Amino acid sequence: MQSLIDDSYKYGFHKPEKYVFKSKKGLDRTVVEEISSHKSEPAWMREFRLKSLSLFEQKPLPVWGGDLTTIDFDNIYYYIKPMDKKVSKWDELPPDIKDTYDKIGIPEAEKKFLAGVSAQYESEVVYKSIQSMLTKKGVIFLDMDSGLRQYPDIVRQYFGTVIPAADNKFAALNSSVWSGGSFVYVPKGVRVELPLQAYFRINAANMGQFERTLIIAEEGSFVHYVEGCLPAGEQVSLCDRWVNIESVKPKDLVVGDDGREHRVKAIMTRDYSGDLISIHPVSPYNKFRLTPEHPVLAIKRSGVGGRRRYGWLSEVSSKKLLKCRPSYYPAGELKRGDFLVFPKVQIEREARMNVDEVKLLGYYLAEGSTYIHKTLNRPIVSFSCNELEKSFYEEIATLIKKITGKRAMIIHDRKKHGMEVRVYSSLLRDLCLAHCGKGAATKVLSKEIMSLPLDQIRTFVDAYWRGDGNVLKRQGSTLMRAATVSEGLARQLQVLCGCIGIYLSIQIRRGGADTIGGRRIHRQTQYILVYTPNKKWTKMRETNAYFLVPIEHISREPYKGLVFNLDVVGVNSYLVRGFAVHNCTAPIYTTDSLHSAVVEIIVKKGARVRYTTIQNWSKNVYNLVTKRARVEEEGVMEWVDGNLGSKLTMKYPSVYLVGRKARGEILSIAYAGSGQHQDAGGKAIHAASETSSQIISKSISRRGGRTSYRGLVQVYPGAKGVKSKVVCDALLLDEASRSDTYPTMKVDEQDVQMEHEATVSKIGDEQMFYVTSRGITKAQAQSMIINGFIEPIVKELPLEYAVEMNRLIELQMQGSVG
Amino acid sequence: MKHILSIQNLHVSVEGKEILRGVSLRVASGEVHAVMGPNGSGKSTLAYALMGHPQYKVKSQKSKVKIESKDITDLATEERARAGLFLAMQSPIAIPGVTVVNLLRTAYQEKYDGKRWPHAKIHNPALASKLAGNVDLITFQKQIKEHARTLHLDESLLTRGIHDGFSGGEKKKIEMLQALVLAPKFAIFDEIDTGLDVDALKTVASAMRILAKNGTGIIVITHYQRILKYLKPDVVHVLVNGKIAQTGGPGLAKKIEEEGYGKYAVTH
Repeated sequence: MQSLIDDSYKYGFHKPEKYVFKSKKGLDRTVVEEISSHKSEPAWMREFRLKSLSLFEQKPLPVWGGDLTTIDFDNIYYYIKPMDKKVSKWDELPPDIKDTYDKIGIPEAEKKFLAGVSAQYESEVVYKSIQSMLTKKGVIFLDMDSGLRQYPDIVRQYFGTVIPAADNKFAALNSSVWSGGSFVYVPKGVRVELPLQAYFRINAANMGQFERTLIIAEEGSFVHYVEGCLPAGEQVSLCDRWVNIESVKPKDLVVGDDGREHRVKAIMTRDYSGDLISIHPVSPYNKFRLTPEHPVLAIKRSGVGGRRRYGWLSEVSSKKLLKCRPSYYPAGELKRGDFLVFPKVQIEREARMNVDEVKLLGYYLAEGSTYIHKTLNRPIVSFSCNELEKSFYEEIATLIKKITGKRAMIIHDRKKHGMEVRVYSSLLRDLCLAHCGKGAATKVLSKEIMSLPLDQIRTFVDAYWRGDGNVLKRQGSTLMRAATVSEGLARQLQVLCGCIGIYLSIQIRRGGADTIGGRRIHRQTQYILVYTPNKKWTKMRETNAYFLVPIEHISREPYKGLVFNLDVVGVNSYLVRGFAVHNCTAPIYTTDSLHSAVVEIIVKKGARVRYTTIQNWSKNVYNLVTKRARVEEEGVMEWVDGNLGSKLTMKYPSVYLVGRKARGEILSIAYAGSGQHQDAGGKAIHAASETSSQIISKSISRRGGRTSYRGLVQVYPGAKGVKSKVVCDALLLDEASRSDTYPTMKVDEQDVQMEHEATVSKIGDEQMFYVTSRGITKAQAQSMIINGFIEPIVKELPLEYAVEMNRLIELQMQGSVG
Repeated sequence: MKHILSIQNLHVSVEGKEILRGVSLRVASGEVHAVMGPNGSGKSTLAYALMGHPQYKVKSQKSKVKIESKDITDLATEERARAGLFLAMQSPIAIPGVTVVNLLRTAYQEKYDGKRWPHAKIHNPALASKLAGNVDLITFQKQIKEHARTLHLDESLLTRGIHDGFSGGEKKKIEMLQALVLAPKFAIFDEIDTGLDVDALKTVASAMRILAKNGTGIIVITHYQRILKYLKPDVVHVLVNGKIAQTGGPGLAKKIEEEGYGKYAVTH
């Protein structure tokens, strides 16, 4: 049903690259001057850039670490200011790059994810959120360019003081062409409790990423800065069931606007503050919220309208409406009366049950319960009917006989005017449990039910309706109603009914205290399912593939917090509460590119800064980052650094402990798969007395991947009572992989306490044997052991990053065993 | 239900050297068998080979290991475990960051996955999320804690990396705990008595009795008859030079304690 969507829709998702400004390839004086003048920078910055350029040209490439000779500095765009986003299309990638991924042996859906395509953002920093809270406290959190414009004095005072341009070739490069990055200033004594987050992405092929971050924490302040491109999932809707989605993972199946299942490539999240559009369609339950720019599949009423009377919505010509092809509109442009698209779920249907089973399950769903009788210790399935519904309970009994071969008991409860049909059968109990679950509030349908052939679905729904439904005659029309307290069930029935041409409206009756017949009761929230069988055109229209459901009401509400998005393979769309919305605008894949950032942090007296990075760059990115913090008296600096992606990473977060009792901590975790080299570690320079440092490095290498720990602990003469501890553990998953340790210690003082531990372990046969001997599969055993290995670091991450980290590792690990 | 673990003519070599030269045993559900023997007689080899450790090569033309009619001679370790075999190891390896609870939960899920509703190979995800086998997670954790209490185990150990920095006694008890939770058809205890003080020994022995009472067939591999005092094995085997030299009742253990292994010609 790709044809349903007009390919040339106008909201920029398929537009070719367009840039406000793009420097020519390669680097020389004119490029640098162009960048500077484009940004209208002060003269001193321009000078700084030019000076840095000449330093860059003079300095040789480092000969240690990884192989840098393959970087072609002339083949890189050093500055691009993007205007439009461009969709990433796997098919458009150069074949050799696709081949590389095929050789690595990762399924396609994952390749994109691994390539980091989906998880990286624009070159200009995108950040949102919490701005007003920060402003109140006097905290400055801007992108570096704005920082320079708005606070030139502060920037000038600190810029390049911790990492001078002359520090190394890549610091010089960054200093001359930097763009984007963050500027954070935390005034004296201010604690920023929420982590500040920034998201980056590489957008255009061959574009370098040269962001520059400067963080200044004044005396006694605290800030946690998170730099990452990591998604965490929460709120959307899925396929055979609608799950409440903390649990959407890459590779899960969701339904696209064509009603078919597609794989999720990635989940994205960002901090958002601003208005959300709340769309209320017919069926109050299906109300959903999204950001104003998020595209929604719809048909505008204005395009299919007929006569219009004052104060009324214009009438709609059904003929026109059904002929009209829906297209995507930003949620902010939708109006009351516009039609949303509610696709019918098209999945492969297969009869896995016979009609009798289907029918009985329908009855069970409406009237049944199952339990194990405590004293008899026998499984019971029981159906409760009204004593007057003779044909109904007799039919149930007949069906039970047919399916289980057992005769059901029919028990008359005169008091309740009820008739119970009961049978002892573990077969039937298992069948009911597996397909419908139990308990009124928790009944859920199995995938098998959801994918029954259409005629069986009709049988099933009819059976359910016979049990639970009632008919309401009103103003000459007939309403069919049923009520359930299971939210999940209500959603599933809506999908099921959709397949057979019934658009179920779900109304919500909020629970609470209530009185029935003088008895005070607590009522659960009910979901009331309604449809009108005899009127074909009420409000919605139906085509073969979808329903068109008018919007009853639209509202805006302010919102602050995380918003989510899915990246779906193939159709670039998914369903929210049953309605089709568009994918996010995924960034594109890059050919070999260079990421060379500089992060400078100044931690003043008694202040504390934590800087967390999880990078998952595509496997063709050179990730060469210089990160350094200067820590004054009693200050604390903590680096948490995770390196999963990239072709080559060279990154050694450093702490310069220049004041008494300053403390530095570096936690680093690296994963290297095939073709990857993670050269990471840390540096601690003790320039004052009683300073302490700790470096913990964990690395995992697999399939020929290579990790190195490179560390330096230096104690200056005169720095007394220094403590330092270095722990580096490496885990090798196979013989082809490699891990090296290059620790350096320069100690010019007697009174120091140094510890150094290094271990290299293979996921031992012994560990694997132990875990598998408990009945756990090899693949699962391996991922358990690895997660255990990195646990000390993962537990330091904010929760959503920790979850994501485990997922990423799991993803990287897939298919690694047998 | 009664099950039989039958080991027929088991030949095992390690690094080319033949250690077991035709061991045959037959253990039924609820029985306790003790396997005694001097150092180097092949006791631990028997344990590891039964569990399918890759370093222990079984000569499969001759040997046969079966649980009921299911031949497990050539199965992978995890499949043996799923067939109902359990091994409590003599010196279990530490796995940092993998907690006992996590390990047991995963193992339990593996064990019961799909078995609960075998005829309907259907997986209802909404239900599965609540279940570890047929038990929900909270009940499951309670069970683990209860077993920990009966073994006088510190609960805090359950949430630490398994065997990571545990004392000798703690390690043995954690192995015992796993046997209690997983309730296997057959459990092999490889020198579970070494390094245990008298109280711990009694606790572990009584846990083993409970296990046997609930139908687990037990093979206790030991050096001394110390633990057998509290355990009352049904059958005692003496393993010498990779062969069973003698089989007898509980009295045999006592005799060996008094006389030593000297009378069985030990050759190296």
